[in-house]
Amino acid sequence: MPEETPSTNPFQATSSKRKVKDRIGTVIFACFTYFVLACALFIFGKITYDGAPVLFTSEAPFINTKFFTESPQTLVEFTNGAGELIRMDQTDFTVFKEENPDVTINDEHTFSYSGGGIAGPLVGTALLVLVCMVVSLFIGVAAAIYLSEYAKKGKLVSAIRLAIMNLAGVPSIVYGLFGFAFFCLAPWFPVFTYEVNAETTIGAFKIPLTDGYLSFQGWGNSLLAGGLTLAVMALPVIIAACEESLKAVPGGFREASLALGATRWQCIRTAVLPYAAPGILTASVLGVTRVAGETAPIMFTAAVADKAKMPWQDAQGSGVFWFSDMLTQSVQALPYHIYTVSARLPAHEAINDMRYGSVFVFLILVVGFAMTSVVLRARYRNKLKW
Amino acid sequence: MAKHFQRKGRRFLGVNLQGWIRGFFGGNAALSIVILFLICAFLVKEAAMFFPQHHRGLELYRKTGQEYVGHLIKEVDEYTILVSATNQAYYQELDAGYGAQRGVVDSSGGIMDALEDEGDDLIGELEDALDDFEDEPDDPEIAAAYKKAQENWKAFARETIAGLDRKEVDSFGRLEGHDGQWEALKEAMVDWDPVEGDPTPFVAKAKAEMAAGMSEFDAARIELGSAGNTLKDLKNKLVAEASQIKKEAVEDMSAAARKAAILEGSKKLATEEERIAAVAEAEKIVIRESFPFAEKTAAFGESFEAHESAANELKEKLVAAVAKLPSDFKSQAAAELIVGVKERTPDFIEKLDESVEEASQWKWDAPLGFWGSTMKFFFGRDWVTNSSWHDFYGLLPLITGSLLISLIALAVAIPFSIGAAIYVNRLASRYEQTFIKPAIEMIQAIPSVVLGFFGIMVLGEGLRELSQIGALSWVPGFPMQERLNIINAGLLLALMAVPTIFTLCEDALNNVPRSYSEASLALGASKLQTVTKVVVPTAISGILAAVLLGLGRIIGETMVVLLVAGNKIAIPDFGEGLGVIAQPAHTMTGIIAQEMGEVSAGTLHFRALFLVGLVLFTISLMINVAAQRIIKRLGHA
Repeated sequence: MPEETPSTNPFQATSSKRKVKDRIGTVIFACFTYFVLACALFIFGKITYDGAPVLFTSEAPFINTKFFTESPQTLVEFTNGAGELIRMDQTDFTVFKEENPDVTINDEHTFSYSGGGIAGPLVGTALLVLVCMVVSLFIGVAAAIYLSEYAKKGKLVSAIRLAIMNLAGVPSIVYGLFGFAFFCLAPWFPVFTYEVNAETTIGAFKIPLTDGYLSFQGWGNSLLAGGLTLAVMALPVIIAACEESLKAVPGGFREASLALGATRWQCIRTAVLPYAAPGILTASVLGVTRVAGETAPIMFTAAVADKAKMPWQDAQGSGVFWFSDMLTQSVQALPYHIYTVSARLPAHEAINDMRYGSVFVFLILVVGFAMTSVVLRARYRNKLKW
Repeated sequence: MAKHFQRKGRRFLGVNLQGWIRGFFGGNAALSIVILFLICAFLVKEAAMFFPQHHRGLELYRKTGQEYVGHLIKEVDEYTILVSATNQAYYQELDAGYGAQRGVVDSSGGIMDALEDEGDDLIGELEDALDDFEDEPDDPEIAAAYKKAQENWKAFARETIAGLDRKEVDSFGRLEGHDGQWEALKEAMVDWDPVEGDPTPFVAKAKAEMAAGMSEFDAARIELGSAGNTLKDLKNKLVAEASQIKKEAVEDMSAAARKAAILEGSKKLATEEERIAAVAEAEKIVIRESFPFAEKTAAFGESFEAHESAANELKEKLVAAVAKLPSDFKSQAAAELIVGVKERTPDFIEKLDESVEEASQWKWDAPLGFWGSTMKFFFGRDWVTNSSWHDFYGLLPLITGSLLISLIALAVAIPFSIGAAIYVNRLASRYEQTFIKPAIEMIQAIPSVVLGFFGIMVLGEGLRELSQIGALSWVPGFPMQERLNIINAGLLLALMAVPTIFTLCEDALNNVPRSYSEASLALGASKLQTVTKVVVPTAISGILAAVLLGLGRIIGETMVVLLVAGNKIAIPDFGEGLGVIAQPAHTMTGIIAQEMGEVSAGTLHFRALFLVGLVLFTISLMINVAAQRIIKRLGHA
C-alpha cells in the first residue's frame, strides 16, 4: 500500500472541505444579518401599506388635508336605513342629524379620539421637542465646551463623565417619574398668573402696572415640565455628540489663535465653534430623534388625550402672562395619542384608519430625523478633513 | 517683563471675565451630576417614606385579623379555580356530545322569548278565553271563541317562527349542521302552549337525552362544586367580621383628629347654639387609648377548629367527587381540563393543609418586624391595589415578568446582533457594509410605541395563528391562548436591543488590532477560523459589555411591554416549563406607566410606584457600572 506523502507545496489550495465550512459559516452570519433587516423592513412595509392610504387620496390635492388640520375627536359609526355602514366625526354627525331629521340611524357606536385628524398631537409634539431642544442644546453645548476645551484631568471631570455615562443608561420611565416629582409636583417653580393658586409655597408677588402676579406655585402637568423632562433625557446624547464635534477641530486652530493673543473664550468663539457648528447641528438632530419617539417621560408630565384647542389659543391674558400660560398648559402629543388609540380603545375596525394613519406619520417623522442625522454625519465627516 | 503678558480685565468677586466664562461652562457640565443626584434624591425620598407607611398597613392587616381571613380567601380562590375548570370541561363535553340537544333547548328558549314578546296581546286573549271556557265549559259560543283564540295563536306562532332569524335565536351556532333538528324544532314550537308555558315534548325529549347522557358527569360536577360550601360560608362570615373590625379600627385611629377638627371648626360658627351643638357632637367621639384588637378578634382565634373541620370536609368531598369524574371524553378540551383538575387536586390538598396550619399560627399581637414588612414588598407575591379588602404591594410578580421578558429578548437578540456584527465587520463586502450598518442603526429610531402598536395589531395575531398550526404544536407554549403575552413582547424587545448590541459589538471588533487577524491568516487559518478563534475571543470583553448594555436597554423599556405583555399581575405559571412564554405578564416599567396617572401624590400606592422606579433605577445603574467595569478590567488595547 503506497503511503500518502504529505503535501510539501505551501501554496497548495486549502482543502475544499474547509472552504465549504467557511462558506457555510459566512452564509449563516449573513442570514442573521439579513433576517434582522427583513424584520425591520416588514414593519416599515406593513405600516406604510396600511397607513399611506389614510394620508393620500386619489383626487387632488392627493393629501388627506383634514388629517393634518383637525384635532382628534369622537368618531360615530352607524348604519342608515339602506343598511349602509357610515362613519363620520361627531361634529359632522350633529349637523347631519339636524339637516336630515327623518333619516334612520341604527347601531350607533361612538369611538373616542378616533375621528378628525392629528393636528393637535403633531403641534404638541413639535412644541415639546422645541422646548426640549432649546434647553438641552444650551446646556449640552456649554457642558461639551467645558469638557473639551477647559477641563483638565481631575476628580470633578471624571465625576461628570461618570454621571453622563450613567444618565445615558437610566430608563425613560424613571425620567418620567423624576420629571413628575420634580417639575410637576414640587411647588416651587414660578409662573406668571392672574390667579394665585393655593399651593403657592414661597409666595406670590404682585407685578407693578398689571393685575398679575409672579407666583411660585409649580407647573403641574404642562408643556414646560414635559419639555424639560425630555431635555434632561436628551442631555447625555447631546453632550457626547457635541464633544465629539468639538474634539474633531484640530488643536492647531486653537494654538494658532491663542498664539495670536486671543483669550480662551475668543479662541473658542472664533476658532473652534464655527468649525464645530455642523457637528453641533448633527448632534441636535440626533437629540430630536432620541426624544421625539419617547412616550414614557411625557405620559404623566405633559400629555393629555383630549384637548380641543391649540395651546396658544387656550392661553389667557397677554404678553408674558399669555406666554407663561401657554407653557403651563398640558398638550396632546403624537406618541401618547398612538398609545391612547391603540391600547386604551377596544379592537375595532373603525379605529384602524386613525391608528395606522398616526403611526405612519409618526414613523415617517422620527425615521426621517434619524436619516437626516445619519446623512449629515456622513457628509460632515467626509467634508471636514484637516 | 511678565507684566506685558498678564491679562488685564475687571474682576468681579475676585474672578476675572475669563474665569466667569469658564465657571459658566463648568457649571453647565456639573449640572449632569446635579441631575443624577436629583433623580436619586427624588426617588429615594418617596421610596423611603413607603416603608413605614407600608409597615403600619401590614400591622393593621394583622391586628384586625384580616391576615388570618386572608388564608381562607386564598384557599377558597384556589378551590374555585378547580371548580370552574370542571364546569368548563362539563360544558365542553356537553357541546361535543349533545350539541344538537343543547342547541334545541337553548333555541327553544329563544323562540319562546320571541313569541312572548311579540304575541303579548294574543296570549292575553288566549288566557281570557281559557278562563271563560273553564268557567263555563258547556257554552258552545265560549268554546268556539276559545278555539278561535287557539287558532289565532297558532297562526301567529307559525308566522313568527317562520320569520325568525336563525342566527339570533341560535346565537352560539349550536344547531349549525343540524338543519333537521332546526326544522323539527320550528315545527314543534308551533304547538307550544304559551299559557302553561311548559316545554313541548320535542324539547323535553332533547332535555331528557342530555340529562341522561351527562348525568354521571353532572352529578360529579355538582358534588365538586358543593364540596367547599362550608369553607365558603365560614370565609364569607369571617370576611364580613374582619372588614367591620378594620373599619372600626380606622375610624378609631382618626378619632382624635376628627374631634380636633370639629372643635376647631366650631369656633368659626355664627351662633352660640350651633357652637354648643358642634361641641356636643365632638364630645360624642370617643378617643380610646388603644383599639381593643384582642377583644374584637377573639372570634377568629375560636374559629381555628371550625376552619380545620371545614377544610377536612372539603378535602374528603373533593377527593370523592374527583374520583367520580368520568375519564372518557368526546371533547379533547374537556379531557385536558379534567386531567388538569385531577393532577392539581393533590397539590391543592397539600397547599390547603399548609394554609390551615399557617392560619392557625396567626396571633393578632404577634410582632411584625420591620424586616418582615420590607421583605413583604420585595418577595410579596401579590400586587393588588384599590381593593376594598387590603392593598398588597409585592414586587415579585413584576420583577419576574420584567426579567423573564428581558431574558427572552436577550436570548433572541444575542445571536442576531453578534452574528450581524461579525458579518458586517469581518465577512461582508465593502458594498454591503455601507448599507447594512446605517440600516441596522435606523432600527434604533423606530419609536417604542410604534413597535408596541405593531405587536398589538400584527405580531400578536400572527403568532397566534402560527401557534394554531398542528405541525407546530411541539413548540413550547403552542397553541397560544392570548395574543398579548411574554413571547410577543420578548420578540419586539429583541428587535429593539439588536441595534444597541450590534453597534457596541462592532466597535469592540473594530478595536481588535489588525496584526492579530493578519497573523492568524498568515498561519493558514481561514477567514471564519480567524473570526471565531482569534477576533471574537479577543473582543469578548467588549461583546460582553455590549450585551449588558443591551440588557439595560431592554429592562428599562416601557411602551412595548405596556402595550404587548398582556398586563396580568401574577407570577407566570412555571409549571408549564418553557410554555410559560405564552402567558401574559406585567413588568416594573409597565406598572409605573399604567398606574402613575391615576394615583394622588403622597399615598402608599404612589410611593410604592416610586419604589418600583428606584428598584429599576438601581438595576440599570448596576448593569451600567458592570459594563464599564468589564470594559476597564478585561479591555485590550
